[in-house]
Amino acid sequence: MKPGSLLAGWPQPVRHLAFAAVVVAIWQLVALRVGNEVLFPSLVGVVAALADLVTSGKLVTALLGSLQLLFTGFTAAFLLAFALGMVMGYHKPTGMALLPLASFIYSVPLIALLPLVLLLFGFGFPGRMVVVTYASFFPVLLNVYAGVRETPSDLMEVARSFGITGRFELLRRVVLPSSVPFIMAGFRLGIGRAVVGMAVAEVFLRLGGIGALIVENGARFRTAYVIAAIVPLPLLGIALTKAAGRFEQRIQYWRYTAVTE
Amino acid sequence: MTATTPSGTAPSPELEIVGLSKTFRWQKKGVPHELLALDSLDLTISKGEFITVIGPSGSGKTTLLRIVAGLIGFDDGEVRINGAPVTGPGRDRAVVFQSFGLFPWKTVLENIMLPLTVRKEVSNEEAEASARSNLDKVGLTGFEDAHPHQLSGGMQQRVGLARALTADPDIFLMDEPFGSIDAQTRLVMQEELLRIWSETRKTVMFVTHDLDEAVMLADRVAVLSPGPGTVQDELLVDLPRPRWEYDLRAHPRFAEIRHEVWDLIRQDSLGGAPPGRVT
Repeated sequence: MKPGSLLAGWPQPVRHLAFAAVVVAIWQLVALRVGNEVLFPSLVGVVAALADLVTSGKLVTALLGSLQLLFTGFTAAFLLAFALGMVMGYHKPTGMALLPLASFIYSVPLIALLPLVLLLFGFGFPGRMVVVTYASFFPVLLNVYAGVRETPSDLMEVARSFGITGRFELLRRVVLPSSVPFIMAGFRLGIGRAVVGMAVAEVFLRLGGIGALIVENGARFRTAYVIAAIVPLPLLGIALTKAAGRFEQRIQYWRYTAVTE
Repeated sequence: MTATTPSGTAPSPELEIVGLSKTFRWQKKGVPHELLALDSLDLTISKGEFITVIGPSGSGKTTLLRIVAGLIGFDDGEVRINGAPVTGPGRDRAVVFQSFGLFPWKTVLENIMLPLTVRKEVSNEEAEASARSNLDKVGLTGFEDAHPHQLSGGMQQRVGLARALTADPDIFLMDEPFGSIDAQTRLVMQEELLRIWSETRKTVMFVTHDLDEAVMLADRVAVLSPGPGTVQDELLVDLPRPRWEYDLRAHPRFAEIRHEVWDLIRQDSLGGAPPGRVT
């Protein structure tokens, strides 16, 4: 029997659920065997912790705080990166000058920059926002830049031949619309990274939102609560990325290959 | 048998190209390179004339068209349309591109409306009405809201043609418009082009490397020599019109003219007269 043929013919969601059920069952069994809720919390314990966090309103409050940070930070990143990416793509010397610098800063690990952020912006909301903005800035920037650079030259020629003249008109009528697939790819990648930036900021700068929930429960060895607080993060990341992907498909009924990362 | 040039038949020159030269210059690893693409080329096209420009690849035929379109500059000579020198793109000319050049984010109808929406001289309703009538001319009614990627190559070029019609120019500039379309569709589109042209009788400069196509469409074929391009010879195509009403390829004159053009091209590529042929 080939692996997976047990559930062959079943719809994809059913197979996913079946697989999840197996993982969860093993988890519960191992936890019972270990018998230590601090080292290895059981599934039942985590579900109970999650239920407690939800009913007490702690999770909602934490999530709201986190989302506020996420959206302010990402909005700033998107707007700045969009503007800079346009300039870099459209004005060749600027692009040539800034691209190596951008690649350099993009390669610096987020965590390594935290002391600097702390020094320059403090651990309040500005500092945390900077972390989220930094995390999501470069995927947007590099994609917008690529989108502008990759504007098909034949379309620019078509535009000129039909009387579209001037840098601004060409930008509005050709460069911008033809970059939309790239911009959307940048948006999708950026928002995924913004979630990571958010968690990092809330754990390593001042505690807040979901990050605080994780750290505080960790400090009190309430492992089940830690896991219950972590679960929303990947769900949030996946949900936002999927939503952006949906939106992307909707407005880009034509296809160009957009760069990733 | 020598090629004939229309001397007495030309009513008024619409497009005059005199002594046109173009050199491409670029740098490769710091070393300057040069390529003479057009060398003192002369060509005159009369109002309402359908001229095809044929030549081997590298003969500069597309360069010539792009200069006339005002998309690139030139080094020497003159290009005049109705007496006025060409300094850039203008509404007196519309280009049909080999790569179709449709905006993928626009619908078929929006693409066709483009020349009018850019000018902002007519209302949106008028622009749309004009676009619809041209869409109908190229037989694409019903595809108004489709996007270009949903259409076949032949259909995309119909949109390109309809867009040029909407621009309502004096001169149509066609840059191997059917070059990337499959052979059967190409035949159909050539015939349709002739039909549409017979209704408008606008001046057409049609660049191609397809011998049959050059003869089939034209009033006159201009044969370019291999680069640097210059008009080596011009041949009148005295085949009766409308040409879709009979089997053009079966016409004895078609074979003769085709043969003459082929000889010119072959002489060029061999660098001399073909052997065994008495001229």
